[in-house]
Amino acid sequence: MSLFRKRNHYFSLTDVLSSQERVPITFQVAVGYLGELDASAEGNILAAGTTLELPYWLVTSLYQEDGVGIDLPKQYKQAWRDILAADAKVVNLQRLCKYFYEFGKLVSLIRVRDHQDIIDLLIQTLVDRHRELTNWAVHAIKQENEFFEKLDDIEQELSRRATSAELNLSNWLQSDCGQIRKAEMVQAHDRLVSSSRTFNT
Amino acid sequence: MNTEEIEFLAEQEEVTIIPKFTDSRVVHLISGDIGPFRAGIPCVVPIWVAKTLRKKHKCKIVAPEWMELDLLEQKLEEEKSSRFFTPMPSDHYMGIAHLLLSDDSDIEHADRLRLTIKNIWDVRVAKARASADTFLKGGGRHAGIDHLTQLEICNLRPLLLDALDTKHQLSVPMENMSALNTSAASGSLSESFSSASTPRRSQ
Amino acid sequence: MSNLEDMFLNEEEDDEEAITAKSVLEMITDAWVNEKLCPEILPNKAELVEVMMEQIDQMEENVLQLQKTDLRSIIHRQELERIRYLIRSYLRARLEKIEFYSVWVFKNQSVLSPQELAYLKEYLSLSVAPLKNLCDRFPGPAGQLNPKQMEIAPDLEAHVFAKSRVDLPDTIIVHDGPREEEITVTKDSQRIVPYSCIRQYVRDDRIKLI
Repeated sequence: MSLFRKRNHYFSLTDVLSSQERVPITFQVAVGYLGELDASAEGNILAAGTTLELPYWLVTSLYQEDGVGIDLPKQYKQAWRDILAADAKVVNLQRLCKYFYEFGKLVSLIRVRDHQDIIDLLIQTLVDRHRELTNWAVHAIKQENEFFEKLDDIEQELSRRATSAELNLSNWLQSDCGQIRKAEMVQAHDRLVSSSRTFNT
Repeated sequence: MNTEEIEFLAEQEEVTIIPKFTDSRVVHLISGDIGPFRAGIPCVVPIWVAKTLRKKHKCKIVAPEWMELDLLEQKLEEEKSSRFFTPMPSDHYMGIAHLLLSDDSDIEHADRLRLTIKNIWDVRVAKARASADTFLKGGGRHAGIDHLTQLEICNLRPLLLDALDTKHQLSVPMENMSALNTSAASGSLSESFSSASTPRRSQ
Repeated sequence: MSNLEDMFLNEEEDDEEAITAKSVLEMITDAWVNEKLCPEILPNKAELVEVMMEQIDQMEENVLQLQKTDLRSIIHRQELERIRYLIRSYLRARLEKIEFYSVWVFKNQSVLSPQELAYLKEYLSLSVAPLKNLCDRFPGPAGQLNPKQMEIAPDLEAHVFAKSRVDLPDTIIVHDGPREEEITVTKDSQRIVPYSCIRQYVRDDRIKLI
């Protein structure tokens, strides 16, 4: 089962979470019965010109209506595209958008005219950061978690998988040579796992 | 597959032992016959059998032909100077080395052998990672990986295949991605739209 | 028609040498590795497993005749444990896929053994029925269950490491967006490829996954 599919299907939690990220949406016409979406709305009607940031799953039921404009979330706009193109590996994706890739893919489905640009951005970013991710994941045992903290959610899972393959191997290689080094490895792994849990809160 | 599972496969490979006992009966294993055993006369058995016999001090294990320092050091040089992966003497070279070169191994120079084999492994894995990265950057969905062994592949899998799959999934049109989790709700929201637009028209 | 089949199809079988326990074990080992690495659930090898289980039973009886301290008994028992592990791990890998892709597998059930099918049906009734009961209590569209969405299909476009057992007569074709590439596959060659383009060869055992 490929990682991406495992994270994105009907029963998957990642999928629910990534489709909860917010998308800016502008109502060019007044809309009835949706006043509750905007605290400042008068009565039950959303006034024309209202701009809101709504969760993606809600936006999917609105975006095809006349009089509704979808804006790109900032992380996929030109300014961030430029920053990511310049040096993707220094960007803190975790802070920018926890589900940068998966949410980006979702956004590309409802912003048809930006579709290809968004996809290109996602792929380029993934590829540009991969080398760094590899290096980190392979040497995770010795390193601090600073880099890990900057990874988006799917990158973190990728890197966890790589690290555990690496640990599995080094434990196996050490399995003849006594307990002490083994315990160190396990501890490092535990640290990694527990720190990654902190970020999931 | 994980390391232990591949080790299981390596244990099925054959190795020569020198028995310390004599038993003229052939043992009819499901995986093939072994024996008869004559003290001091080499015979071939699966590695898992060799390990068991040895644990009971019933045999000495003989190093496979390829497990020889000069040969391996030559192999190491060859591996370093080649752009590609060179063919290894055994598909399970690492697993077999690990199984046979334990600390109290019968095989001479076990430490140095182990170190050299680990060096070969390191050169190959570093090469594999670098080419994985190039492959991912260069695009394309297939690549030749002749002579890479199962354990090396197992180590490479998450960084290469998972990344490649993710890249591919991002690029293809997605028929059944989640978003559609919510499609059932769209009916009711459209209603609020039409009911909002009706008064607008009438105004 | 069936006479023709008898004549030609069975003839082939007659030509084959009697299958040895050793070769069955090798086939199960290969099936295990393939199943572990394949994105979809492969056609079942229940016949092989059955043959092997019979072998194990028979061997167990034979081993009982031996003294427990007999070296041969120890080795036989160890082998039996190894084979049992192999079969368990193989069947478990299949059950995992059956559960994960349950609805999809239900629609493509020809790959399952009768026991696996029974398991799948029970699994589906235990997992879908409570979900449906729960959803029925939700008001309006929130309670609608769309069977189509619940179906998780295996990702046939996932990439795999593959090794060919033979020279393939035809080239395989790799699709990459609008591009198509043809690859000639020779015996023992190893490649990274999308599973979809070697699927038929994995299913008929001409290519193995590594």
